[in-house]
Amino acid sequence: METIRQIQKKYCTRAITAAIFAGFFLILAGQKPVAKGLILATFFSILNFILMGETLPLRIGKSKGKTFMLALSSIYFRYIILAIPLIMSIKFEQLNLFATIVGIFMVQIVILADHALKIILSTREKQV
Amino acid sequence: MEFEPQVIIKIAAYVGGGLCMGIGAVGAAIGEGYTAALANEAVSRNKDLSGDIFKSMLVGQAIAESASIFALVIAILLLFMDIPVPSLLKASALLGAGISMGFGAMGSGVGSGFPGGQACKGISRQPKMTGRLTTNMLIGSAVCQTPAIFALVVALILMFIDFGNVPLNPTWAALLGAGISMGLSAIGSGYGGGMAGGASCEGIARNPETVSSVTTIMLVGQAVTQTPCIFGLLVSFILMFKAFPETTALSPSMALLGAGISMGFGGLGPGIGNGMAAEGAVRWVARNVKHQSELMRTMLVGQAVSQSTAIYAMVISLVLIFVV
Amino acid sequence: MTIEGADIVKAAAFIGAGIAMGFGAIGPGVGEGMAAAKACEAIGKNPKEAGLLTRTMLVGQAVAESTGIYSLVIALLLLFVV
Repeated sequence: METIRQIQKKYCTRAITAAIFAGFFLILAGQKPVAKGLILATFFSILNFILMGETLPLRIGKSKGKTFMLALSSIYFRYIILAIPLIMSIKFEQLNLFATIVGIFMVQIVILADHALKIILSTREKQV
Repeated sequence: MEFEPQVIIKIAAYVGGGLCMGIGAVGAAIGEGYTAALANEAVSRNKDLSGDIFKSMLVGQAIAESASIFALVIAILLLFMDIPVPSLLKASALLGAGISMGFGAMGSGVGSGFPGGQACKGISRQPKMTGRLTTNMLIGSAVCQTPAIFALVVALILMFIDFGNVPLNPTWAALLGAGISMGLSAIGSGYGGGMAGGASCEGIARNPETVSSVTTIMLVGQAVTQTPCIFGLLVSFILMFKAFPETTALSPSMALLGAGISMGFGGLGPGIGNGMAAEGAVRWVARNVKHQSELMRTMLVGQAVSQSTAIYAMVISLVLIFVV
Repeated sequence: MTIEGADIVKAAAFIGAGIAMGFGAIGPGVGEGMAAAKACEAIGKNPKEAGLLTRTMLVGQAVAESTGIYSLVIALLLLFVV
């Protein structure tokens, strides 16, 4: 469990920092709805990632059918949470819809960027 | 029985949204179930590594789930968005968007479970390779998401482009066909790409020195596996953007719907088949790296032959669109 | 919208062509992939016979392909003859 917490902490802090930085510059550029949507959706993205980590160990040591049902119900539960910022951004003008959609993928973007950076660094080391 | 267009649009949007979320989530759940089953095996093999295994499982799952989050986005948009121009054409476009994204997310969701599961199993076998296995798993599942991204693009076009002044009669079938063509052909490519990714993680765990050859052949195999869904994308773009002359007859619209069905189902089989071929080649490159070039050649020949059925399906759908 | 008999026949033929080719392509696609996977396995085990194995794979795939070609023929018949 320790390692899960660590990795969650790492990616969550990076995701929220990235969102807040981007949001800060967007506010400076006068794009307040975009910034708000991005930051709000990133919060929910992080919440989803944390809940996903909590439900993972539950699936170990169960039969295949049970795991499938568990996975499905966990997905539906978490997606109801993820739907909140989307619905809000459709209903309210103060949140930009496109930025919200980008925001709910923030954790994924951070993970992929982290590993892409690792690959680039390791190939550069080989060349030197 | 008379319906207002507004009512029909609402029905289409709700059915599309429901299909989209239902099917999309089932795919991700099957993939996660597979990952969990292999992780189970891995933990029981090597209890001390359970932390690393869970870590890799969590990261893999976050990426694997992006396809079904795409489906969530489309479903929520379908359910809650205000439709600016209420016309019957928009109703079929919304239904098509739901079909495209729902089925499109299914293949990618199932497929990206394979690299995740095999990576967990591989960590318990070769703990030293944990970092490399995680990276490889992420590459594999990220490539798996391409069909879902294509499906997302088609769904967004169907939802947001105003098809305005085109005749209702054949065009409704074209828009529905575009969704079917993209959605179903994405299932095969997503699933097949996952098979190649899973085999690569298994191979690296078995024979760590072969990392670079295995990754190369996995990427080549996955790229070829994407072709059926690129055909599907092509057909659905033609169906969406070609202007069709107005008719009162039934047959032209059925021809366009048939084009979508032909390409959609026709892309499904070759996608899975290409994935199988890539899986075999990747698995055996890891075991016999000296003969990499022969294996690569055989894989490409096999995939090309398996591709031919997708090409027949594309020919039939192009004939249905342009000739008859 | 007036629907005539000939029109319905044509509509059914078109959608039938789509279904014939679409479903007909699933089987050969998967089957040929299986053949290729097994050929790769065999070459991995016994690389010396690579030429023979590739040939065998192609023969097997050609036979599997024939069902796909039947579907194509039926689809073309439905489109142009019926």
